[in-house]
Amino acid sequence: MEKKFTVALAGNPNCGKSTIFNSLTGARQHVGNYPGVTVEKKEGRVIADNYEVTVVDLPGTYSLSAGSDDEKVARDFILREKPDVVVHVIDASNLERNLYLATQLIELDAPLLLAMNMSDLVKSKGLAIDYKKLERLLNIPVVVTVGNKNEGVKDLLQAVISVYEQKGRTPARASVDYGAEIVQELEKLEQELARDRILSVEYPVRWLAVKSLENDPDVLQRIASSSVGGVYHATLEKSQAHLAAHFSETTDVLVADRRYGFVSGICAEVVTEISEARISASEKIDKIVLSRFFGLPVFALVMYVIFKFTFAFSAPVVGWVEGLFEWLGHFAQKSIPDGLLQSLVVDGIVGGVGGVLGFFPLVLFMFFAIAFFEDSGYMARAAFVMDKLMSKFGLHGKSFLPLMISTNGCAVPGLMATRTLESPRDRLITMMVVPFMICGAKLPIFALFIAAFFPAEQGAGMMMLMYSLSIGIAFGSAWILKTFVLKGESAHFVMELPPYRLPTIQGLLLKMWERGWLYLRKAGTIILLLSVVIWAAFKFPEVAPTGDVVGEVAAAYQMEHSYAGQLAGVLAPVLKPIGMEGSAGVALIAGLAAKEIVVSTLGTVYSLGEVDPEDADSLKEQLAADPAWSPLKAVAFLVFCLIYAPCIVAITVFYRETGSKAKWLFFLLFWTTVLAWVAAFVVYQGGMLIGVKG
Amino acid sequence: MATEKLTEVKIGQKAKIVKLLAEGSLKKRLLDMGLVPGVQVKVERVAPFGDPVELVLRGYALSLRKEEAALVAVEI
Repeated sequence: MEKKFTVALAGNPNCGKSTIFNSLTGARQHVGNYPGVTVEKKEGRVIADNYEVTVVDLPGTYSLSAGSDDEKVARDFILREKPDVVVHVIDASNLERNLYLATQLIELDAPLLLAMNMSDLVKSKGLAIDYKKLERLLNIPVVVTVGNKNEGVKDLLQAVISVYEQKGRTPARASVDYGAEIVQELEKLEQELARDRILSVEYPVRWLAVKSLENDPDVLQRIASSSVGGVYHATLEKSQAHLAAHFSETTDVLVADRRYGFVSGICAEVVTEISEARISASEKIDKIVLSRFFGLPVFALVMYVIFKFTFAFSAPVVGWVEGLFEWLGHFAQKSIPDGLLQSLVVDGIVGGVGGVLGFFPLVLFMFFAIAFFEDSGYMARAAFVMDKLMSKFGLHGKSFLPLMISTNGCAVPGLMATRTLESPRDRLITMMVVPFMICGAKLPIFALFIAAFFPAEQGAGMMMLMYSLSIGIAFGSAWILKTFVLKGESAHFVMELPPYRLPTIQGLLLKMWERGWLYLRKAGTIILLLSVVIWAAFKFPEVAPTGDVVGEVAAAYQMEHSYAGQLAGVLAPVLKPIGMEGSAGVALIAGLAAKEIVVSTLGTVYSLGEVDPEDADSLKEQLAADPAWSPLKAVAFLVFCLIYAPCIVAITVFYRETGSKAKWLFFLLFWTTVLAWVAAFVVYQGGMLIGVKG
Repeated sequence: MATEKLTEVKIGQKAKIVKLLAEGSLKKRLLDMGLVPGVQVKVERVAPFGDPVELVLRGYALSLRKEEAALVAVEI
């Protein structure tokens, strides 16, 4: 029987932590979410020396404050789950800033082990590190690794096991010297804290005291709710005032300063310059990639590559999946007798599952392309280049990519691409406006109506107008959200520009698969369920048309009398002021399943049977001839289609990606629908006011 | 020596951090990233649209918006 224990990997972003994780665990990984937050939780397993080791990859963080979800999750995991070993993965070529986190891990009393990763890059920086000396100075075991070449990973595993076996005998480690003046105050605070038995068992008191000086909101709240809360607060205020007066600097700055002072001291001891520092490859690349002249063209090129890769390269695979489901549909149609069951299987289930899986190759291809540019270090540069434009509207430099993926592409991978944004506020605003972009499925609607109601030479102009409107609505909404809805939330840009690196294929594939699988597992089931609900809304109640109408006419009759048709009837008074009568309402309801269905539903309404959204000439003529429509009404309809609630797949993904918060889901639905109605109202009524025929 | 905002530092120039005027989570983040008083930073470049700026400190590259850099007091 193997003994089990847990090891957590902590470390800065871009320190190569995930390559170490992948080398340790191979493909035996599991991705989930930490409860209540959208932070990914990665877990893997490795068996060695009769131990079954669970490896938890904590989110990459620079520090362990309560400032971000990532940092909170990492710190809570160490404090609450008490992993048997904590491996701090360090980018050895960037020792100083990386060791800053070590000072905090030491204060957390974590059973620590340092993995000096990317050790091969140290030399190319013209430096040498005395690892033995580092180990001696800190009194913490050090292992040298090169994660992306799989070097030192076996040694790391052995070291992990030996730290585990010596557990409870952790030697006194070096810790930050805060100086007599600060230590005196820290000890006063510790004395207060020690009087609460629960608190002092749950947390290392020195850590609590230091965090108090840093004004960490979570720690202060925890202490306030303890038995010593009231007295402690007074003592803390006195200590802070005393130190601030003595050093003429606030205590949070003092703490950070002492930590970095300690780290700089260590670095001065162990790092030596062995050769003149050459200009690094990253610096050379950035001279071009971030230059005034080439910055934008390079950015545009990278975005083009990602877009092409996501949609063009995935096309054959999407084709296979669609082909498979078409075949399944035909097969079901042949083997199940005509009737409700056949319709449920063919239109509801096969259609629904096909809808979910149809996006799957897209999502995989996109995540592969994104992972490549993320792991290579370019994504941070892309944000650097675009931030000025995006931040004016409350968006982030990284918001550009999701918006671009959605334009002519799809909002589903677009929403998932917001995972590259770190701050929850930036991410939420971006997700709110992604659905306003004109996705590939909205295109057939625009093509149909513009062709039906406008002469060919005006088509391109109309389309440009629609694109401009979609961008205007998206950026305007972002600005409104930033200014009025999320105004209290802080957002900063402060972001590392990591050195360029060549990603590993294994790393890219794993990242692609993890995120893709998350889409299937979390969104798939809901989407399937909703597809069946929408199917039922159009199928029930079943009505028998009077007389001897059959086929297409009967289908139109059924649609009109279904629940969806009835709902369109109920909504008629609301839709009339925006110029929508007759067929429009039911088509809009159907569009919730998928936007291109708006076109095929109109086909059913006009008794044309199955209409191919890509080739709808007959439908175009029907629309143009229908007195219920006019060019002005068509424009109002398109404006409404552009803005109103996204399809159920996008809605579901939005819900999941915002951490399953109903509040934001309702806000999205309300915002999009109301905005769509108002915009269509302005177009239609305004148009009639200036004399355009309604 | 006169104290100035980090945004006043020219590209390619170095400066020493004197004080952080930022507050709350921005201040915490700047401290965590190593922007503590006394440390030397070099302004490496400005993004093509003129904002954000790239700094080099403690051997790594960091970018921040100008509105954030304006909250860092330095000595040139």
